[in-house]
Amino acid sequence: MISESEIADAVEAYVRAEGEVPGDDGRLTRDVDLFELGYVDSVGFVSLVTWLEESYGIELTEAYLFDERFTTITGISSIVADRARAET
Amino acid sequence: MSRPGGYGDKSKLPLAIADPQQDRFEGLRAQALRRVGGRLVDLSYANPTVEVDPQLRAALIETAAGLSAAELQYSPFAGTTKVRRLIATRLERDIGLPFIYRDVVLTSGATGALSITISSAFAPGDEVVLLRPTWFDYPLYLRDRGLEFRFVPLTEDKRIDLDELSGAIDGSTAGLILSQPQVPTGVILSEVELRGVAEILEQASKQRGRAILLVSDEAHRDTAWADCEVRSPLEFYAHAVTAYSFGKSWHAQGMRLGYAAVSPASPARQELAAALPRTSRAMGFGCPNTMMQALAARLVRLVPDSAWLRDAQLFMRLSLEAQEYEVVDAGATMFVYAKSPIEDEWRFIERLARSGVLALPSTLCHEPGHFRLALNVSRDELEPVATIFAQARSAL
Repeated sequence: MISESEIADAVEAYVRAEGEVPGDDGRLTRDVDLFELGYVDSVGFVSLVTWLEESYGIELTEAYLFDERFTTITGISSIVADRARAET
Repeated sequence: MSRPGGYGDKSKLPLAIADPQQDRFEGLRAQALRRVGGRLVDLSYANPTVEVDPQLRAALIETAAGLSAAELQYSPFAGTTKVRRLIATRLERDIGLPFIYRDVVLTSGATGALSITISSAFAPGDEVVLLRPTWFDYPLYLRDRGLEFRFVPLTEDKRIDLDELSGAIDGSTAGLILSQPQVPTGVILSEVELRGVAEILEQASKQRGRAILLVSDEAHRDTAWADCEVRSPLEFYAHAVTAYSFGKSWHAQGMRLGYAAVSPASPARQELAAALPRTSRAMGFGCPNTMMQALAARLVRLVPDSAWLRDAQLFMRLSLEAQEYEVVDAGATMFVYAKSPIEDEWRFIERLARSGVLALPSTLCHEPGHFRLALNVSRDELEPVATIFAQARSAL
């Protein structure tokens, strides 16, 4: 079973790559609001959800997407880890 | 209600169209073209004919090749979030203020940024202060929106006279528009000047009971050719908006690619950041197309090569000074601003034009008696231009 910390590593790498986050951007941490700071926008949100569902073999229903944790890397990883456990 | 000279006034053409000085200059240009044809070296407006920077060419090709279908759809009126964030990150690094993407609005060049800022921040009847000489179209934009304006002359060497500025700014002033580096002169304003301006604005804002807006036109921020630092006025004064142009930085003005960014320190940060995209939307063409937006995401991480500009500037300045022209000492932009050797600069420029060189009369910059050269060609191509200037001088 993949750990929450491994999921967080993967989510961060995904956000950095998709958002073309430059190396000198010191603001992206695992606890910042990705939407508030523009690391993920509405188009990026759809891609992120699709990527999470395909990568971890889970389904993210509205309840999870509207969960206030679904704004930070830490929170997203926690939700994904919960779903992965529940669906195995 | 109709504004005098505005679109509601049936007795006149719309103000944006009527510009007799501009018309006179275009007549002069047409005459010069008829006389010397393709041999005309046009140094009036910034339209360089030097090689495109290979970094820009590569970025254009990679951008076009890499666009997805989604990236070719409508973007938000302020531009795509990712590009705005990348610009905010660069601004934070350059200016040292915590910009976020919402502070940045992508625009059709710096002119679009200036236009939406003026429309968003000022109301008809507000008075805005300008420095003289100045960029051609600030007065046009202000008049067109029913705003009043007042010129403050720069010193003989085109620096800010803080006493003059202090005398012109008071409780009735709503805004100050300045360019850094300065247009049309290329002078880089010093930290001392910028701190002085900030103090004056802060004092007058207290008098007014409302912060005066500083509109900082930084279209040429990345065009320093001398070994000087260009400090942003936003480092020194809080209630400010900066306007920037990728086209100017990369000497490819036709890209019409720029942005407006609200200072994170502004007391009206949120209101302005919300108003700018709305105004851009109302203009109908404010936001650059998605191809250009995607290009900005690449350009914001690159530094243009301005070695050719440095060579051209040093050559032209030394040549003119050797011929006893009074050239304004400067360190940025592609402009050379100098005193006309005869009082009526139009006559001098007509003489130059007959010899195949087109310069810009400073009257278009709202100050008579000077001329401006935009160094649109390489150093080698400037050699015959220097000869024509020498001949024009000795013929006087």
